[in-house]
Amino acid sequence: MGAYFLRRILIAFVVLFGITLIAYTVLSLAPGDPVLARLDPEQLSRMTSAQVDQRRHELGLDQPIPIRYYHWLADVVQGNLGFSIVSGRPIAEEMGPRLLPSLSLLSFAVIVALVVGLPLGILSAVHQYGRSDYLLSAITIFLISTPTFVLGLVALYVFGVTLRVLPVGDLYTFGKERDILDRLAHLAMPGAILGLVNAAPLMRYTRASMVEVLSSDYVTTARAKGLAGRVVLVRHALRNALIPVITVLGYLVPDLVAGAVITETVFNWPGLGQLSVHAANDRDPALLMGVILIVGAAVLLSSIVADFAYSVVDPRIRYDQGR
Amino acid sequence: MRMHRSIVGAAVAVLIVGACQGASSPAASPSSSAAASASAGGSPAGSAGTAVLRVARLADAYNFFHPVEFQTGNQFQWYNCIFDTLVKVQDDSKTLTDDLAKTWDVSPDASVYTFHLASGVKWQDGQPFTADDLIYTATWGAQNYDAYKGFLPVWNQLKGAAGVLHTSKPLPGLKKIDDSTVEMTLEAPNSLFLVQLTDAANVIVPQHLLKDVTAANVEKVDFTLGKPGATIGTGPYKLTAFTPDQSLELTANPDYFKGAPKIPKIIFKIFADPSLAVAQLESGDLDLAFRVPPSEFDRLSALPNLNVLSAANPGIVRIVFRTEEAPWSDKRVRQAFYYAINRQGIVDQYYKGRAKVLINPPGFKEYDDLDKYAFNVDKAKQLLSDAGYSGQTFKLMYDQTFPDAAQVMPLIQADLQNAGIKVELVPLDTATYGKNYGSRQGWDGFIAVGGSEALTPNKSEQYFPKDGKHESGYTNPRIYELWAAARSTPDAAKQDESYHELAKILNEDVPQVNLYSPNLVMVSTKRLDGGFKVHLNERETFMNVETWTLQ
Repeated sequence: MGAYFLRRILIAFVVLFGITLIAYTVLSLAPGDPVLARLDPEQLSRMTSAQVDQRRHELGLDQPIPIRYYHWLADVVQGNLGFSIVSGRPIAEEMGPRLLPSLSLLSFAVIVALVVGLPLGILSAVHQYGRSDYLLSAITIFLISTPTFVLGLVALYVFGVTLRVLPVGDLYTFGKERDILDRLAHLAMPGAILGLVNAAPLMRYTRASMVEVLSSDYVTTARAKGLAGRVVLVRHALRNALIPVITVLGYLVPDLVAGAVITETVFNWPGLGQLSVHAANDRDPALLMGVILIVGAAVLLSSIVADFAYSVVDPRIRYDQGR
Repeated sequence: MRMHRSIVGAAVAVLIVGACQGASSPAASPSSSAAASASAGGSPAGSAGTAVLRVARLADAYNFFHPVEFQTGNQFQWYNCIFDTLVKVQDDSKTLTDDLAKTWDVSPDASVYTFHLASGVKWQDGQPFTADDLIYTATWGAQNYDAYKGFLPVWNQLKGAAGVLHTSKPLPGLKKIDDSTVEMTLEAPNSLFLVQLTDAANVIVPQHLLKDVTAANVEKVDFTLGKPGATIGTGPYKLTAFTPDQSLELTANPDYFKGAPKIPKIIFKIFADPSLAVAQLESGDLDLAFRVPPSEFDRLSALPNLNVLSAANPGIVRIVFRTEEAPWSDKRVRQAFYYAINRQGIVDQYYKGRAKVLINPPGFKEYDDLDKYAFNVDKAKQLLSDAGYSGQTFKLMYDQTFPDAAQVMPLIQADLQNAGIKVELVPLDTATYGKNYGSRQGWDGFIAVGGSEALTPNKSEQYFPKDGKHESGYTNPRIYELWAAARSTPDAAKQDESYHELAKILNEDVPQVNLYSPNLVMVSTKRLDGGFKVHLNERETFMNVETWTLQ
């Protein structure tokens, strides 16, 4: 098993390399010029093309893509993510203060997704084709099909502007930077939105997995033995039904990250998602590469962790067998 | 079954409400967070001494504090709080008021300016401000003139400025008469020099903190990066916290030489998306906003606690032709565009009157003898046939993020097609737009938005670069003579003579079709009072911030 995970980790590095190579190439080939993107046409009209070329040269943007990529990679291996061409600050310094807001938002969302998705998925399965099942399915489909920014804006107006029960966006109220309750109040709406949006698919998977298990022979056997309904449900059905859900949870991470980009923009939440929008708008390839590297690593890590958790909960799965 | 159903219903209700009220924090009960948002909503929180003005200008911001990095209107407002210029303007963006210069003398030919500096001025770190700081700022600016990446200061207009570039020589046009008097001699007469001085590119910076800074390291020093305690000006507010791309906290400078500001703290917020700013205006979490989306005008106007102002925009929406290429090189074809587009119709119907039709760049008077080019399809067709236009496609490039582009561009296209001009719309992302603008590829004309021409006709000269490789490529030498002539005299009647002839030339030759100026929407809380008034050039509004009050 150790060997398997060692191999997985090594492969992850190769995949990460591939991700950065593709991302770097695509970003370099994308239309738009990072030098010109920064300049107001009003200023541009006063600059000669020699001055523009000079700026491009200073930023190292006049070299061929493979050489630029090589330099970037060599720097990254030495722990240097480079500098944002827009702000001139080190990328690590740009991303550092944004990690915690992003992590808190994502953790809160995962908790909401689990707390909402799992029990409701089970309820749905137990009462398959009952009214509660239909109601929950309708809510799920509504959550899956409504764009996150619409949900976010509606929630902002309902809970923030009209009812005034929650603050309207931002990380904290100015002047209350150290007030933990204030921070939680600010976290509640974006976290809940992101969590609910991701609770919906989790609920569908839980329901499907549970329905399958509930109709399996060993559940029928357990019932036939005369075990109480709750015991069958919790000890026999649920344990087995949750195994595939663990994998789903691992693969929800990319969705969560993608959702966070939108949620952070709507709520002015100063996380990595908002940073990546900034970077894309500004044509700041180095900054965007930094975000891609971190997010890519996080997603790969989460899938390894999911595999590992899978093997722990399900004794039938042993990755080394057959070698 | 019945019981289960009600449980599900209750669970859903609890989860939705609970999640939205802070599921993981039982203490954040509805009442306590309501109280929090009410106090955040700007009711005098506790005592008047803690009043905070929360501001947003919904346009791009750039995270730097040295004038070499001055590129955005947001910085203009920040700089006006932290720093001072020699002179400032009132809300008409024209009438001068004193600032670091208490009084000034101008020679009759507008080429020698003598400034008598205010006394008792201190830098925010306690050091005294002297004439040497002004000498340093202007000299460094001229010596490193090509280090300025965005808006440019006036220091290159001083006599001998070109000769000191990339040197450490003193600037010949600058003379320190005594510790509080400085004389500036210009290379060429410029009657608009004082108004130009009010631009935030000309803020005076501290010599004692920046004397060792060079063009090579100016981007990296703490002063430029906005570190509290390092970014020091003489202005009414001190920088006390700055988080790039997020917020800027300013605290009143009790020793400000014009008197301590009345509002203790100002927070500038930077928004990734204007929708949230609008929601915060409604909820009371934002007190003042510039450049609010015009579509929100009616809704925000209905709110009792807000003043909503729809103000003239100093900028303009215009079609710029590639005049070097046939058939757009024929002025009759370009005039036909004017006749073909129902500009008044667009202003009335789409903008509901909150825009102004133009026949010249907006700084110019609308002289009676100019052609108004009233909407007239037949005349457009006549001109096209006179010019021998034979159906060539007009590729009209625009940045699809321009305000209202998606709605207005098809109207313009339809009007032009109606007059027989084939139009292909080319919507682009900002970066590609900028690139094609520079390379002059992929368009026969483009839509330009914004600018500050309304302040003075002089501002429009930058849209007609002499090299013929930018904008319309229109380089009639007479227009440059006229702009120079207007600058060379302080006599308003003589200036007007030059501007009148300029207006006639531009009106006749049509290097660009001036469509209209859409109004800008500014929103402020009614609690904001005192000397607060939105300037004609809204970015200048903070020039008298020390006189504002917040109830």
